[in-house]
Amino acid sequence: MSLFDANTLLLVNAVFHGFMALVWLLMAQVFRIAPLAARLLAGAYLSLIPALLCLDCLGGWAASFSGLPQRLAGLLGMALVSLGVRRLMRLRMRWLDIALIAVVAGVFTTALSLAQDARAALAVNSAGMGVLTLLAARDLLTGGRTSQPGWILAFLLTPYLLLGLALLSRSVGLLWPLGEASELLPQQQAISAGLAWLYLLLTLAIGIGLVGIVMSRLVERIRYMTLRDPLTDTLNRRAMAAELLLLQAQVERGQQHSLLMIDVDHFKHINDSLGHAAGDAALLHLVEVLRANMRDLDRMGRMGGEEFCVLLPHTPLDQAGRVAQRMCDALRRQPPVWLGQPLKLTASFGVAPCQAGDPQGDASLALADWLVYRAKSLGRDRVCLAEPGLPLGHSRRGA
Amino acid sequence: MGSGLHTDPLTLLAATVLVFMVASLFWWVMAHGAHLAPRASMGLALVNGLLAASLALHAGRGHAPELLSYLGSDLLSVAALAVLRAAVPSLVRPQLAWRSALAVLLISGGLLAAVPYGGDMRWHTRVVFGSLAMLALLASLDAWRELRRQVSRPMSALLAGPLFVISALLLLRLAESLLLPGNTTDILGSGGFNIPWLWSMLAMNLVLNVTMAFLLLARLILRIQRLTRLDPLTEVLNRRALSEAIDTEHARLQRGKPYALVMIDMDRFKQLNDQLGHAAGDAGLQRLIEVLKSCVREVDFIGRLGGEEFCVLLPLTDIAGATLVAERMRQNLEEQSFVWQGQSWPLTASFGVAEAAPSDASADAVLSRADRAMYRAKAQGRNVVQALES
Repeated sequence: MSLFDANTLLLVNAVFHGFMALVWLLMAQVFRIAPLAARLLAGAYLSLIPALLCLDCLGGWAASFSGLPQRLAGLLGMALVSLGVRRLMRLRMRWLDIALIAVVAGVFTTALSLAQDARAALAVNSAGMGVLTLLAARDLLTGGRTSQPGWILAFLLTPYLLLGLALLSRSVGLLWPLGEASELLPQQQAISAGLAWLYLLLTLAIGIGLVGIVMSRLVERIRYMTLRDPLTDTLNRRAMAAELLLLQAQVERGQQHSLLMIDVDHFKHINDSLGHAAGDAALLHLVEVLRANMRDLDRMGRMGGEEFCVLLPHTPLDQAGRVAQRMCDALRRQPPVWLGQPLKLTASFGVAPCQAGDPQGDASLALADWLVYRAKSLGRDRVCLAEPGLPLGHSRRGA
Repeated sequence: MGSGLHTDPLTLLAATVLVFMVASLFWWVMAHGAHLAPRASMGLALVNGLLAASLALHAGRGHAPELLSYLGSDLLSVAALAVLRAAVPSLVRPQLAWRSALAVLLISGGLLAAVPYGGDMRWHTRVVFGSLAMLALLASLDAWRELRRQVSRPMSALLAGPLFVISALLLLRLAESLLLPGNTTDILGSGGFNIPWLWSMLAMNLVLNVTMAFLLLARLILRIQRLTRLDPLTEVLNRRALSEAIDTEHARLQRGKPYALVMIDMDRFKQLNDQLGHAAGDAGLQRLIEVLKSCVREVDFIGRLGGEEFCVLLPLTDIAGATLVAERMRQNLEEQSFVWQGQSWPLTASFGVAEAAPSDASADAVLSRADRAMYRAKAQGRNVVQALES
């Protein structure tokens, strides 16, 4: 008949499931990556194994249940897969819908099995598993749409969709016999080699897809962390330099951008008199106040110690000056509270345009820097704007 | 169960080829989609692809052209492990170890080409499995050595162990061919030996790919740990990581283990920044760290508290010892000639030393004492070491 043996394929699949259970256990216990999702998936793989072992060759007590325990285990496994995927995609952890589908399908499977209607029981069981698989596909789509490129998402989704549809069509085929037997719409209870191949391929794809999601999540985190200042969660100097590079390139093509340089007044005094923890809290407060006065397009970065920079794309200098003044006033009006005491926190602002002929933005930064020092020397807690009459900042301060 | 666990060798072989192919695809996507260690991932895609091809060709023995199904299949399997051997170190560090891999591949290729196929195949089996085992062993040793430098012993064993098991299995096959030369080499025969061998091929394949995935995962986690614990500019501990280390040390104080802190503040850092620019300031800090690092032991911790302020934690050191260390640091720094774009700048720092005393309620008390000592050093005209007894 067939060149291949369905049972062997199911056994291979069972071995793969065992390995995947081990992988997720290690993930949870040793590496502590997404521990809850990993435990759910380990449980899922373990409970899916019995359903893969030959149904026709059961002996002893299991035969008298005609495969009911395996079917229920399969249902539980699929429910755990859906829960695991939901958790892995960081969606809100609702479990009622999944539990409801699993319980309803489980009750009907049990009732029909006990009524000796094995065909209908298998149909209901397949339908339940199919719906759960499609649910996982939906969660994958919701969670992955923003973070994964389209072709990878398609890669991840296809096996779930195919598996869900195969399970549903199996259920349909069992309930309404169509006369001619087709390989992919099987009407027998025993699984054919073709279906076993399909099932093996799909579970392989799903299994490694899940591992891939975990890995790309870690890569994403690293990418995020290399661009951020850990304390304030603003961009770091390297990331700001890259952003400024983009803006300067647009300046050459006639766009108007501005940048603010911000330096906290008497920061060393806060650190020395109240401790580093107070200093950290002050910086976090500052970032919060600045952020409240920024648009989505604007970028804020920490250039070092108590020095911050805000890039304002498509903003002429006078408008940027008003933004800076608003920030400066807001900061003075809303002091941070440290151990029940309001803390005096102000900053000096330098506002400069992104100048043409400066691909790296060094001159623009230097000018803004120089304006900050001008603001400091004029008594702090104020905004200094670049003016055509003022000497440009190349000479730098002091010297 | 009996008949339920019956396996068909052809199906098992085909399924194993499928698993190899899917794994190959996975690594390819990892390299191109996630840009995850692209060289190592592409290597692993190649390893799986070559093994799939080798196994598929092997299955064709008797039907397919002999050159492909015998020499081709054997060479592909050795090439696969050669690529593995080259790629494994690059999972942990950014280099390929291709020299030894290429050497083994060329030698075994030459041997296989020299001995004619036909009739007695035992020597081919021995050459193939000898090379496979050697390549796997080299890869395992490399992985173990690299891992030991970065993670604990149990973790290294967990991650590199499976590779050693694979090497051992391959060696076992070599030994089997030497000790029991009568065994069949027909992979599709359903003799007592072949089914377990096919199953172990499948298991080895899964173990190999899972181990590689975990090695890559470990690398990612180590990177995240570095990012969360180290200051990006100077690559010493950041403030949070240093205070954790100090708190741990302070807890040991109750058991009679003393420790000392050296607070370091670079002199006239603001002027350096203002006159020579921020880049010069950064370079100055990096030079300072070089000097500090050359003066401390393996067990000491250096951390950046912020700006130009650093702290060194010296476990099992009293105030006299710590003062000696600080004095050496001060002197070494003073002797540096720091030149930035043709302009020389005198790099110096002020040092404050304090030793933990049992009366200190928390590590903060020791820190603030070291801080006060450092300010006293500043007040004395900078570039000096001051120690403050509790």
